[in-house]
Amino acid sequence: MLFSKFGYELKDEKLYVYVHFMKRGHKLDLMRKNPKVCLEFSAFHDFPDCKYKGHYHDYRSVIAKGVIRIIDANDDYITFEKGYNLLYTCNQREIVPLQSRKTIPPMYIGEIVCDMKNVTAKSEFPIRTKEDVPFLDVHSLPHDETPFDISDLLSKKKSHI
Amino acid sequence: MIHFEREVTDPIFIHEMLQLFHHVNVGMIDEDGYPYVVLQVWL
Repeated sequence: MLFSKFGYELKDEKLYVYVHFMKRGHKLDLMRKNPKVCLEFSAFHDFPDCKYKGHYHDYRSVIAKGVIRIIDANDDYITFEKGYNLLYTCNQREIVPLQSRKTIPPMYIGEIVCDMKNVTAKSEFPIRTKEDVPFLDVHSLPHDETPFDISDLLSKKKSHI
Repeated sequence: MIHFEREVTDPIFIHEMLQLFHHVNVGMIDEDGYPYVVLQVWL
């Protein structure tokens, strides 16, 4: 399984996240001293004027623990270029190929590798399919005070106890 | 997770979720033992 988009990819039961930073500073010192990092991704959808199924907001979040590897283009050009390409396409802008640059940007790429067993995610609204993942536009939906039916999730949990 | 019905474990769903995010906070351990968290923006 391979997914690529923005500054990350999911491959071989691992989450790879790419970040970039300057070649000096406190952050770099800390990474060198202890490469263990924790990642937090989140998005919040607030709709205080439009209560939906008893909720005034919804969120998605992912927490991942991993180890960062500091990539210097002079030592590992291939991985540097891979991270560069993923990061520089993140807003769908046209990429300036690394090889066409007069000089390599004066930065390091950080490759953070997380085992999927160290990745947890959470959603306020229940998710059962891919289509459930994006936020609902509650303002376009009929008024609904009925709580989500999570009886299937409760049954599933009980069956595992 | 206490609210187990909110937990998402399927990598397919996690991948879909990651596409919603525009930034990531990276937490490290500072010299004094406190977390040191920096923001990485993807947009």
